[in-house]
Amino acid sequence: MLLLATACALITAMLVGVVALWQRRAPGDGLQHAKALYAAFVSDVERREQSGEIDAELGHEERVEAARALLKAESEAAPSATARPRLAAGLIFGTAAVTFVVYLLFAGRPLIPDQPYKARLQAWTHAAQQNPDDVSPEVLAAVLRQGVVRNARDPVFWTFLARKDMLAGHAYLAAKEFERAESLAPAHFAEWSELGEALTFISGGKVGGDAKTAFDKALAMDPTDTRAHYYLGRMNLDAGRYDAARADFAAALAGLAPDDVRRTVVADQLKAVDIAEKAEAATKARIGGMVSGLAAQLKADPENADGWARLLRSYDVLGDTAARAKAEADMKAHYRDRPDIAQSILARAQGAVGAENTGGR
Amino acid sequence: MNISITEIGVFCLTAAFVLSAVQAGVVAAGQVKTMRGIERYAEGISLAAAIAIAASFIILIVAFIRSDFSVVNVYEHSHTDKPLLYKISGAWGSHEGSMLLWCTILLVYGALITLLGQGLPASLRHKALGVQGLLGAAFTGFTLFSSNPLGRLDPAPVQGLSLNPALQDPALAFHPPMLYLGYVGFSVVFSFAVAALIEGRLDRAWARWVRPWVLVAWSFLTVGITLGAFWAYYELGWGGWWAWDPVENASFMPWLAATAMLHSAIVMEKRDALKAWTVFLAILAFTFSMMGAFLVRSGLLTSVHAFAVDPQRGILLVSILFVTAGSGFALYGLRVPNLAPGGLFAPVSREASLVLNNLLLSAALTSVFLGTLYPLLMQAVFDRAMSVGAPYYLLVFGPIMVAGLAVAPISALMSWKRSDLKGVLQRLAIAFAVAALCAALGLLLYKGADFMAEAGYFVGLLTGFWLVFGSLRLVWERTRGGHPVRRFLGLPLATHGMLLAHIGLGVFVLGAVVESHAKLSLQEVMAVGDTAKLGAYELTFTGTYQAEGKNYDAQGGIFAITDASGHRVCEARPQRRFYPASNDVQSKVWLCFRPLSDLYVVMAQPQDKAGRAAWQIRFFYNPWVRLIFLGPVLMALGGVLSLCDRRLRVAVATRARALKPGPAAEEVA
Repeated sequence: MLLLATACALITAMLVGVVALWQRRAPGDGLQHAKALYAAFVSDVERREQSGEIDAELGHEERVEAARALLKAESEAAPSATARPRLAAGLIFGTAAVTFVVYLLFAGRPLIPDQPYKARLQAWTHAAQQNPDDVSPEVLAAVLRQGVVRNARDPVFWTFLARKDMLAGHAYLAAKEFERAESLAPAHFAEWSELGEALTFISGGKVGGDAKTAFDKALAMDPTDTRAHYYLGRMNLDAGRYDAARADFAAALAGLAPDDVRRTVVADQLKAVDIAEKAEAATKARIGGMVSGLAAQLKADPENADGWARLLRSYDVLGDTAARAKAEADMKAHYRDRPDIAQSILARAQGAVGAENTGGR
Repeated sequence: MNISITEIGVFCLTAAFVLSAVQAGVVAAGQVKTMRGIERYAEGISLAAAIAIAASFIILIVAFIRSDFSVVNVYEHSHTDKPLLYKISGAWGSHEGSMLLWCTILLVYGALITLLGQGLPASLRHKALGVQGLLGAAFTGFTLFSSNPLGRLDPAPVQGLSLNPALQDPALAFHPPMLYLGYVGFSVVFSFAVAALIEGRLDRAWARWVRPWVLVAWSFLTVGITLGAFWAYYELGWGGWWAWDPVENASFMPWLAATAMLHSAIVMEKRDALKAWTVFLAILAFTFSMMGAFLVRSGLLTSVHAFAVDPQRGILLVSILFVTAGSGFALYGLRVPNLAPGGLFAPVSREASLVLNNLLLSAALTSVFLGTLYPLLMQAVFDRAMSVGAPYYLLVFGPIMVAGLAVAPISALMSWKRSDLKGVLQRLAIAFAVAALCAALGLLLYKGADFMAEAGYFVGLLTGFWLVFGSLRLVWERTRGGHPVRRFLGLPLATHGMLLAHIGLGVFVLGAVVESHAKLSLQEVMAVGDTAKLGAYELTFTGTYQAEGKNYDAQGGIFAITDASGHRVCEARPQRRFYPASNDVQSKVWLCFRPLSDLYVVMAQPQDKAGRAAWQIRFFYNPWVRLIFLGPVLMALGGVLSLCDRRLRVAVATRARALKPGPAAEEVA
């Protein structure tokens, strides 16, 4: 704080010095300056007149203008500001005081030191060497990253860095680093489920193709890999494969110690399987009811191209292939004399939801 | 014990604010009889304020270079992995940093009034410094109290959030400083206008003193707008360079006002006419500059140019805009009736043609103004979303500008006071014939969608060629009669500048017309091995590659481009870059350089194509597009050449002599 105050005082002195130097340099007598200026102006007018840049009439007008301005300058001739030392001192003191007050009260945070990254990294490195457990994963990853060039060929380094990045929430970097470790020692790479988890994080929690491959490899190496079972369970749950999901979550739960805090998360997922399964069954029953109603309507009044398209599409969604085949056969039988309509119904049934009612009756 | 450089920066910013306020204060106090003379301190104070704000700005850059995340602005817009250039340009990549850049330029311009304006009458210089001080206090105050670029964060985060990848580009690193050098340059013109209105002295000398400042600001603004257009062209991947976006228009409006003022100031300087109009344009140019600053910060716009939505800062900025511009226009309204009427001139004369030029430029400016603000007003007042796009500007702005550009070569050949229109037209007949022939040849090679498109193409080409050949005709007239090279070199630099600017404008028009009419484009989902045809060119997707930058990972495509005869034209390697720090993806355009035209390839979103990995590919053929960027560079060079003309540097050139009274001074006295 003291150093800062001294520096600010020096800056203020320097700025005051600039003002003072300029005032000393500037001409004291305004009238003399104006005379010199307009003399130069008039000689420039003469030069331009002689070189033919302006005509005599314009030259005369410009000289008259200069004379008028000079008269005005004479009438307004001001005393030298430097001749008012008290005023100048007051001005300087007031300006400096206001600057300090505004800085301290409204703008500055003088107690916060600068924190350049390089200096912080040095401090973090020191702290990590002294007591790594007290250092956050994000900081530890930053410290480790200094050794990237030195450890470029060391798969253990990359695996360790990847874990720290994953904990720090940098899934993309973690995935890259796991992949780097795998490429350096493919035969010894055992962190497939961690790579899969990083890839799942990158795609916003969805288990994509690359993540599934990683989890499959993890289970091939260790069939009890809890992480792989957990994420594959989530993937199966999202896809509606409830039995497979249930099996995966059960396997994950079995692999966790009784006091492992993650058991709650897996158990919740297991419950979620039952809930999702029941909800889907209820939805299917509701849709089934609506579809049965539509089927009954079409039986009573088969002259409804839009209705047939919706019915076929509904069976496709429900996955009821037998009912779909029967409905298609009924529809074709009804439109046997009008194959173009039958074809258009089939085409519309294969389109996106809502596309089936683009045609009319 | 370490000293906080950042806090020194905040102190310097505070000092700049206080000094600016004092600068305005001493000038105001100096108007009181008992305090007369104190206004001279405004000069030294302007230098001190400029030094203080420059120190503050340098400290902000240092904070970015050192990745000091205890500075909020650095945390929000930087990252340790960012290349050095973008760490530096990150300093003005945010609202706060760009405001500090604005203030730095504003206060440095103020200091330049002191340093270069010693040839000006002291009274005018001091009043201009007073106005400049007021502007400085308003903007530094806004920056310090509502948008402090050196605001602190404690504890500092481990890592920064990085800069928007679209802004990590060399053209955009230099675009804001150039643009602001232009925008803020008009503050000097504004200050001189207000000072002259207060003084009640508006004459030829004023026009001569002000013109260099207009030229400086206009030249920088021209380069700034061009850099922005060039960035939009090759960075945003849409194949265009100007979208009539409100923010683009906001930079174009002061440019139009300044262009009109450059011409009206000539009339004022030569003929002592158009005084009120010139001073009006001076106030208008800076008003539009401030409006540009307001629009990107108000939260009114959603644009690639817009900073974060923040209505509160917008209200503060619009208050500054209303107070400063309002005061300027109010003073103008009060003083204009008292201004002595200007010189008279014949309806056919150079000054009359420049008046016509000004009328057309003002009409064009009004059309852009309406097109920009009407949708915003409709949204604000009636809550009705609407947009005004290219068709409006093509129909309204286009014809006005064609008329304005048609006048330029005629005006350049006319005499002052009274001219012979028939004679001028006869002298320009050959230039017109050559321009018409070139335009007709261009039309033969072009197949438009309809008659209107072909007519528009022909008129556009004719206008561009007319500007070029009309200007060359003037060169020919001025250099004929032996020793043409010596005569050409002997022409005043202002004439060289004017010719270059007019030719540059013609070059720009040709580029814009050909590019907008004859441009070809296709958009296709392509996988490796696929081929697409565009006009005479064939694009073959030959492979992909991976690349790693300092702060991004890229997936690139390799495309072979062949012409109609099967010859390989170039290999395009566009990229899709992923920036982990900000979790952003950015398509990097590949431009195949042809002398005047571009083959432009963009690799956009990845897609599935029958089980194969594919990408949406955009392929453009942009004919003569290089002229669009070359033309304004020529125009800006023209501005610089004019600036070097001795006649425009009277204030500077006479400074040394003015300070040393000689015999001539005695004679005048």
